[in-house]
Amino acid sequence: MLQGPAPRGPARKNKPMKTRVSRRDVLRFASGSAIGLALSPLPWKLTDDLAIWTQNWSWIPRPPRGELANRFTTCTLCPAGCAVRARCVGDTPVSLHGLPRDPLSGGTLCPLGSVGHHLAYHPARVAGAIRQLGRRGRSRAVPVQAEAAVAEVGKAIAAARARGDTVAVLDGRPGSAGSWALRRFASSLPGAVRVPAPGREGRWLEAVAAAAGDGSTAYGCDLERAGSVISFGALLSAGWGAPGRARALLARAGKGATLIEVDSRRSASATAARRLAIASDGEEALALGLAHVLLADGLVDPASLRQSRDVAAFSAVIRGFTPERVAERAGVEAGEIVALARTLAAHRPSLALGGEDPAAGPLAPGAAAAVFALDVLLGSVGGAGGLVPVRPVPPPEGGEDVTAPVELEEVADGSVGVLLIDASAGGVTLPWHWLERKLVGARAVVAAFSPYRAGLALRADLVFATPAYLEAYADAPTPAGEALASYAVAAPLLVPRAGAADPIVWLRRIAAAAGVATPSSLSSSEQVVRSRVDAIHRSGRGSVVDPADGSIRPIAAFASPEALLKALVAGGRWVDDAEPPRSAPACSLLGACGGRWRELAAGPAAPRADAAKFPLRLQLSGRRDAVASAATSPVTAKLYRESGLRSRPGTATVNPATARAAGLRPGQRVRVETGAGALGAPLACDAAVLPGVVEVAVGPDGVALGDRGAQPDATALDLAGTDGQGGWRSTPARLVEA
Amino acid sequence: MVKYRAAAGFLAGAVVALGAGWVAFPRVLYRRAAQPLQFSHRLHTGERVGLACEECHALAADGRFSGIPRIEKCAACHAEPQGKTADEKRLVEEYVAKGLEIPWLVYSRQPENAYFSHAPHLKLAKLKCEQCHGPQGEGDSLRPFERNRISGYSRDIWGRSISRLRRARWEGMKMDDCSRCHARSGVHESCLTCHK
Repeated sequence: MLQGPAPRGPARKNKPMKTRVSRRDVLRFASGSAIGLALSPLPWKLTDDLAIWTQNWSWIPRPPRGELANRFTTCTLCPAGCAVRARCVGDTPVSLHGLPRDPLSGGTLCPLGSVGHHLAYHPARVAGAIRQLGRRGRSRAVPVQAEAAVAEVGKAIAAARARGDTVAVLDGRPGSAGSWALRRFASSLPGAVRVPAPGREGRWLEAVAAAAGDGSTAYGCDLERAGSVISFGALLSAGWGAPGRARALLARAGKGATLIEVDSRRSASATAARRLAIASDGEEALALGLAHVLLADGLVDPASLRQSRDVAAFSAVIRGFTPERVAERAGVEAGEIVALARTLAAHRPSLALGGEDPAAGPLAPGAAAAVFALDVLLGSVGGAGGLVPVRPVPPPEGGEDVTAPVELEEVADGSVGVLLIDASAGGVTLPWHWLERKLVGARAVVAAFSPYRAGLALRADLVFATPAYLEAYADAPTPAGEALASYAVAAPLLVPRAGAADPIVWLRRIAAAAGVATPSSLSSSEQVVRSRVDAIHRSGRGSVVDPADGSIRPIAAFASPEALLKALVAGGRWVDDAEPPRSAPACSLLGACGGRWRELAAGPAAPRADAAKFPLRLQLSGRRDAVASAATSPVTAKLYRESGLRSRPGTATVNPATARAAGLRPGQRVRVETGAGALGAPLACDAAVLPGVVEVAVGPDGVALGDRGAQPDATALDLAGTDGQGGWRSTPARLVEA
Repeated sequence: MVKYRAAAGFLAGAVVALGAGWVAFPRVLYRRAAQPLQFSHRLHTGERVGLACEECHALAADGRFSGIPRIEKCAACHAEPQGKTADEKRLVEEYVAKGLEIPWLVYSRQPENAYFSHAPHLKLAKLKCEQCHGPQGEGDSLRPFERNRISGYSRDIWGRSISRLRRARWEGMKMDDCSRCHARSGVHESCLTCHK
């Protein structure tokens, strides 16, 4: 039976209402769920657990568990050579600590040294040999057979010799055991030159040795007896030389000693030392201005004037450097220059120290010579509390029989057919384009010896793996500026990674492939260390200080070189006997800078040709622990990326006034441009940066911090130009909105 | 009606999510595992046996914490069964007689990326075991071990309460708990103290 349609009206009202879930209901439910979840521990606990999960992946190295033991050694990550207590589980170091009884470090261990035991496990470690394909610095790596890589470099050396191209070996740590082996290698290979790293610490003192005599006597700084110290470009309080000495000097600050640091960059240690902020490249003018006041006010020691061959000529030149004229160039008020000169004269013995910066390189020769002249006028050359002669550490057997090093500036552009970079003892801070312009072009072969695929090794065609810190014998000869020669040894605490070998072992194999015979002596770092310890023992000089307990044993107490080596391997430090101060031979105050200083004295400097295009100055900054090694532990990422305790690499920091003048805001992305290149960077403002200056930290970059995929397009060092005087302290630059 | 319905939908979602977060999530997150044997701390530390904590959980000569006692320590008293319980029988037959270590599940084991030394806490700070581990020594039995399925940690590291609202000072052994105690005691710390 058919039924008609349901009646409309009242009958429909009685039907139960259907519950339909609409999209709006779903959204309300979802909103409630979202708020409910946020008020529950689920998302927060889940985030925490996932973060922990990522910290415990199976391939992340784990400290072993087992019996604990303390072993004593020396940090060789930078030339300071601080004494180290390694807390080991079994044979594996799990933590490193400084030793307060160490006369050089005073117990200091920098962030890099504190995590040095991590470096053997760094993600950028190289195994065997690798070839890098693509643009230098933006390359990808492919493993190659070590024999094939050795043969390739050997063939390139043979070809370079046949063409008359230079084979250059860049010595990353002059003076170290590895360096002696490199010297021997370079001497045995005709046409090869050993180029010491241009930014090495102690370069100013090498210039002093050349200016104060015939270059055969090395000089150190007697900080311990100095009444006042003024440092130009060497951040003593940040660890230049041996960090414990600056600490001791600062500890005496309340008892009359004064430490003044002259620098145009921000100082992380300004609270410890008196900082004198000067204009970019103002060191030379300030030193000459101080010399002018000393001469004009009769504050010069007459005995010191007799030490100079050309005091009259110097006095004539220096007349143009009145405080008023220097004030403009140095960015320091005239009255302050006069007061500073009088302070130095009143707190004798006074020492003017020129130094190298781990990021910004050496002082320009003009500034270096001006600082030395100031020392002569202050009477501090050869006297207690000044620049004192230092006997060298006895060289290894056959060490004298080598050719002299060649400075990078002396190597002709476009002349190097094969460049071998020894970065095994730590990264070399050097703008790559400085090296690149020395190459013959595309046919040049660049090989690096490094534990890591980082730093300059990223620019090489081939990288040969070397042992990481604590994996091989290394040594720490006298740090820059030390008043007494010293020598410490680091014996391996870890088993080297498979495929890693001493740079000299690689070089000998390469030389063999090139058909060149190399002598068998000094054929490994260990052999150099043993030979040097033999030489120290034979010399009969000095004593061994044990930083673990502070005991001192004269060298005569060691019956044999083996006994001495054993003491050094156990953490001891050989320190030479003190010599009575002696006057330096007569020297020239003007040196090679007479002409330059006459020009400077003649009037204000002519404006730079590119002043309109590049109105600012780029200054690179960085602490030794961040730039001296090509790698650091990822654990220090917080220090460099989050804490603000260290400048973040790749950030352009300017004075707020500079930012305002350029129409830029903090946090904004900018491009730092120089004649050498450009770098994208976030902008930060800090009133401590001088107006007109752009400061960029050199390192550590992402690769150094363990992010293998973080190869930057350009590094801050790529922007560094040349000042024409062998340094990269400041480069004309500009900031533009990215 | 429409207004109530809107509120009901929202509230239903919130209630379900809160229930999931506060009740279901902790149950799913932790996997329970029974200890290989039952053990009475109270019996061993009580008058009848009279052991002190450090007699079994001793520091080694180099300052390391030896942790769980080895089977030889148990065997010194349990070479023969000391009672008639099933666990006592298993202890003697399966572990002591065979010289096998008991695979205890450790409630307070710190993860591999954290380095912790008992020596300075016991010798320098003179802390009592209970200040960090709570009244472990008073139990008659061992509670189940609860392992976090994601991080692999024991539940005791986070603390019993999923909210981390602690009822007792010893609850929780996360970095925050260590730092709080260090701050309270004026003890200097740095990242590398615990993370090697």
